[in-house]
Amino acid sequence: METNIGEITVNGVTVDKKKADNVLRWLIRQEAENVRTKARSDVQMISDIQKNIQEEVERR
Amino acid sequence: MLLKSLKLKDFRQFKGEQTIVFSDDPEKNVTVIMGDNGTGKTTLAQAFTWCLYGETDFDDKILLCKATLRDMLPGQTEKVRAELTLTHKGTEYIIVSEQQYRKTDKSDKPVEVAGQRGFTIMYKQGGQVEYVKQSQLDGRMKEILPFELARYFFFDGERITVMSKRLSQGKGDEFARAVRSLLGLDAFTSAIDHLKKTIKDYDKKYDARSDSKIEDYTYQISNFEQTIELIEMRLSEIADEEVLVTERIGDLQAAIEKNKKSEELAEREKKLISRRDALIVQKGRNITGLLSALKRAPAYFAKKMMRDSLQQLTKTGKTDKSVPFVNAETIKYLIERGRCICGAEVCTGTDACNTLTELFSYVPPKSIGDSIADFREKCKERVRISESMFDDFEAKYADVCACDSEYAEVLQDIADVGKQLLGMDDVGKLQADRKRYETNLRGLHMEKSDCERRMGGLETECKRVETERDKLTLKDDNNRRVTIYKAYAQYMYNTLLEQYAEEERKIREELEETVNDIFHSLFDEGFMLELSERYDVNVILSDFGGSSETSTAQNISIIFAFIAGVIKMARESQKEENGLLVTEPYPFVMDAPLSSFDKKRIENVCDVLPRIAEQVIIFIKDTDGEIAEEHLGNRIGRRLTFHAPNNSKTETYVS
Repeated sequence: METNIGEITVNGVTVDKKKADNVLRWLIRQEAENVRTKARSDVQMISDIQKNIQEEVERR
Repeated sequence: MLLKSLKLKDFRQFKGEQTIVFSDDPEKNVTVIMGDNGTGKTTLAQAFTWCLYGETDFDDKILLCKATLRDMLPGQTEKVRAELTLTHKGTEYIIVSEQQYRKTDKSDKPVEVAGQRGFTIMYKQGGQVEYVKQSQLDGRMKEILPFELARYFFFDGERITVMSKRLSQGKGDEFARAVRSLLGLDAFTSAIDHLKKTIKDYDKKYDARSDSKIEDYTYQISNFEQTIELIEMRLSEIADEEVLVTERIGDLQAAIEKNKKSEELAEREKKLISRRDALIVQKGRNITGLLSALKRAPAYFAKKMMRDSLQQLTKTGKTDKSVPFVNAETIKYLIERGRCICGAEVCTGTDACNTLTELFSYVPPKSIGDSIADFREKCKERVRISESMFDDFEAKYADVCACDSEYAEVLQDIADVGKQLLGMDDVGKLQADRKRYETNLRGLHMEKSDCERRMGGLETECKRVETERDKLTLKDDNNRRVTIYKAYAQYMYNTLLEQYAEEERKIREELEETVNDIFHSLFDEGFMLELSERYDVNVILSDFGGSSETSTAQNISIIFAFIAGVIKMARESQKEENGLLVTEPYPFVMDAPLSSFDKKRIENVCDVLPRIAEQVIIFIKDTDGEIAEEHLGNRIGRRLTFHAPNNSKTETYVS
């Protein structure tokens, strides 16, 4: 559900679209690279995504 | 994926160890392999699929070279090996398939498989050779070239109809997934998959100490998700089964149409057999009739003699002078009594006595008159009966001959019908099979509806429980953070799904356009190729719409166009530096592709394919060698010839 410009409510939580898009861009780069190199496993990728979301959400 | 070399050891005709090196020069990217029929061109195409997937189309699944087997002793073992070296996404891979065989002393089964097929994938990393783990072999092979697509890349000219049909009919989700992967959508699907797993992983991070209901809700959600996942898996299986069953129904329908004549022929055969049996009975009756007519033959042949005898009797005037019912004893009694019946006196010398004495000559036992009269009657009767004997005999004989002639014709017809029926399927059985598959398909449709209904209910319930849990988690700092992070992951997941759907649609439309461009450069205008969401290719008449029947040349062009389109797009999207599209060039391996084309189309194919595909490997007959040289000459990087010494069917060598 769209709220203020740049914000959206997901499962009752307000999500800053700019922050989420930053993580998405980072993820796109990572996935494209990983398809080529197979360097990171699924578990590592999940852990990286969670770490990135946390950093981005808590950034002021 | 580009092919560097293929090393074969005792694989079918390829005796001993032989290596085939392919051209990977970007300008001269064509490798031409020439050989007469039976020298192993198709075998080489099959060697690729065996090496990569352990599959071949050979009826005889024994791959050991027969010439090698001949030199082996009973109990001795020998290994068949195929080693393919290729580069994929900048990494050099060596893929090896091996199978051990043992010679036996049995004449009906001279060789047996010894152990399982060995399969290894090695790759070079930093100068070191590394092995792909056993558990990851399937996944890695899928990533290099999915099996579902391999049959199109290793193009077998002798299986055009099957391939074309597979391309136009449903092929299942695996095929669509494989095409999407080749078109560079792997990174998209990986990102979506990782985000989905991330969301699930957040569920494990909730701390239930703040409220015990959180744990209950999480447990319920987990159960819902597991059940939904099982239903989704079943729905995917149903979709694949539907494709197979629909395809089978189509095949059976086609076979029924094709064998419709067999139904008529079987009916005709039945009638002919019934007529043959009737003729056998009739022949027996005719012969009995003929023999019966022959019984009158003596009378017939004695007719003249009887006529002559009767004439002689008439001439002699020998008529019957006897007194009916009067015999010699009666006359003797009258003479002895001395008086006749009429009362006249009978004494020696009287007229009465003389007349009675004369009667002795005519009365029984020596009644000549009676015998003559009897003879005359019999003669007349026999002459009358035998009068029609010749005509009767002639008629019966004609019946026997006509019956024999028809019998021979019927036998010939039965043999002819039998020959026509040979190789035809029994339509009744085909119809029964089709009915069974149609029932099966109806069952699948019902199960699908049921699964979808159940899944809808579970999803709604799961959503409700999730909302309840989210309310509780927001009351605790730690859990609130997890919920917030999860919401971000959910937003990213939703966004990516939308992007993927849009990107996939754009790519499919672009592929359709590319495939049509290539198809029109190979084949006439007037037809359009349409790609469905599952990448099924349908031929549409441009002017009038509606699907069209396809010829062999058209079928080949469709397959060429589709694969060349995928290859072209894969190459082009490689140039894009950003985004989630990650693709790879692929080779086009074609067995006997030119023989179905006319001169103009050969020119088109030879011009188009080496420009589109990064690598082309083409197997041709010796007789097509000149054509290949004429049209591919400046693109040929390697020329190889297969030759079989003394036209051997069991040995082939590469030079």
